[in-house]
Amino acid sequence: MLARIESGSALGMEALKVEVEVDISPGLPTFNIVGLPDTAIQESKERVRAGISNSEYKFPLRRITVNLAPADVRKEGPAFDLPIAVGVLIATNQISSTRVNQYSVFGELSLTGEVRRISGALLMAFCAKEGDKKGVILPAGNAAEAALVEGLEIIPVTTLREVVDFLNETKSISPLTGKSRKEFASSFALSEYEVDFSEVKGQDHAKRALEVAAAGGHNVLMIGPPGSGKTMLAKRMPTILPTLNIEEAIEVTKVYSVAGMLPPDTSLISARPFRAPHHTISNAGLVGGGQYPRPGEISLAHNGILFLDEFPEFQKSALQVLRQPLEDGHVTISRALTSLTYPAQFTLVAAMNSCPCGYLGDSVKECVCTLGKIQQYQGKISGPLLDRIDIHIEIPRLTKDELTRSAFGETSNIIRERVQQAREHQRERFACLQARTKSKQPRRGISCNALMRSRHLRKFCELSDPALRFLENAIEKLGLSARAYDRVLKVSRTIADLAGSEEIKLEHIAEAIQYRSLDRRSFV
Amino acid sequence: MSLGDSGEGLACSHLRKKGYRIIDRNYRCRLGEIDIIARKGDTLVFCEVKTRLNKEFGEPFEAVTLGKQNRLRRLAQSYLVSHSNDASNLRFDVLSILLADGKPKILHIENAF
Repeated sequence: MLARIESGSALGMEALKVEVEVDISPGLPTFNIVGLPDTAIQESKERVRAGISNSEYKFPLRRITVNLAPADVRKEGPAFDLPIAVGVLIATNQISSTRVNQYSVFGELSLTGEVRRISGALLMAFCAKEGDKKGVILPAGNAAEAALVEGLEIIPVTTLREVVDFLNETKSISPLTGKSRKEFASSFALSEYEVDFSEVKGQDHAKRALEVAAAGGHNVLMIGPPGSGKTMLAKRMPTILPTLNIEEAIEVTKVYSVAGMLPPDTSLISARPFRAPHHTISNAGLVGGGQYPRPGEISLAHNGILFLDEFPEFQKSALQVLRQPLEDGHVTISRALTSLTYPAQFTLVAAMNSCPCGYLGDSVKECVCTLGKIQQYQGKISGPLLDRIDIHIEIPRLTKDELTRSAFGETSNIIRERVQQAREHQRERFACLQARTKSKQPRRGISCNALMRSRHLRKFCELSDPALRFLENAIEKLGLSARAYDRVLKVSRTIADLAGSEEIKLEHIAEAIQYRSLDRRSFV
Repeated sequence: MSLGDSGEGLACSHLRKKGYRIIDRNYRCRLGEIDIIARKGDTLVFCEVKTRLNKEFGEPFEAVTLGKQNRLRRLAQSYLVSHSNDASNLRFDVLSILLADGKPKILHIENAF
């Protein structure tokens, strides 16, 4: 007898609809899975066999053939255990097949017949919705995330027995219904953080620069001696970021769902991610990789912050692989088996010392590095990489007065409100762009100033005569490059937005030029 | 008479009842042995008979492992080379016989592999 169950497999940020066909015919007992299955699926034979017999159903001693259609796409992962088991039970008439057509089924089986959590359930739920299924039958651990799909009936199950009883209509499972975007948006709470900007003493210059970075989505490089507060500042960066809108939150949640990193019972990640990988990270760990490419740190930091502490200590190649995603906002990983694209629209926050010993240019301690060492150290941050970082700031050591001062700075909430407002200006400005580009290729709309291209710069960053003269003067005197010119324009646009000014004034340009300290001088 | 022999006897009478003609029994060559070679219409059937007294170690037919299946395939080839016949199809069957409580239960798996 033949049974046909619909399931799915996550392929990058998309889900692929997979038909699981189970045929049982007379013959010596064999169990074959065809349709380009990988090892985890081949092993699912053993889980299905044990899961079925340990749930006290009969495992047929006949020739079982499972086909995963479409047969030309490689499939991976244990999510097919449950549909295969259900298919075997239907083909042996242990379940009635009337109800199963309305649902998409996926889940991993344990040997005891329990249904375990899988990764990528959110994508598969979206896929089921597009395929006009009434609902999905999925592991209870994945129910919360699938609830993001509006109007989809979600049947959470914990054991194979429950699935059988549900399909036989001998037991009802109260379904969860996918909530609408509006409902989710209204439940968006401001995330709570354990840290706050008010805890950072002094460094007003740096705080202001980070505020500008947060407001415009600009990448930042912080340079300073050890103990000056670079890491402390970076850790507080998420607290002043604008809240995610619902579309962004869903994208972030999708990435975490694919990576299998969604915390249990979380339906939506509402806080901007903050990823701080250690500097020993491999290229694949950073941009994503593997035989079936998994999202890397840059994708996990999508719509959030990627913090790279001790920037020059990273492998040189790891820093270079960052260049393309920094430009494109996504990364395409090609391997022999497949090529996948993951989003990587992150804000880079990097911190480094100015030399290997850390004290070059420090007011108190003297640097002991040789010139060659310093050049080698600083040479790790290549020009093209530096070009993609809009804001460079120097974080000097705090003076004794600043350290002992008890007065606290502004709290994160106050800063965030300003940032939010600046983002609002940007959204209004770029709204017309989004409407126009929609009909063309699937180009992403612009959500913040940092994403502006040169044609946008010409349109949105017109300078008044005195401001233009000032900028030309500065370029000449300070020797700024053409690329730096664009960066200054972008950053000054953000500074103007923070000030609530439609026009970019001279003072905005002046402040923006300050954030190009690495262009103005070589380190040494 | 051994268990295997009595099982093969039962299998033969079962096959005859179903309209098969027994052509050869215990065909031997240096590759091994084919329990029963039967014929129905234009199909030549190579049968492997497995007999058990209980199911303690699984169904009798579960003992026909992949290795045994391959051996039967080779045996069939050697039989076809040395015996001329006009059968156009051939098939491998497994007869699984359970002799529990003195009453034989015969399961005939046609086209088993």
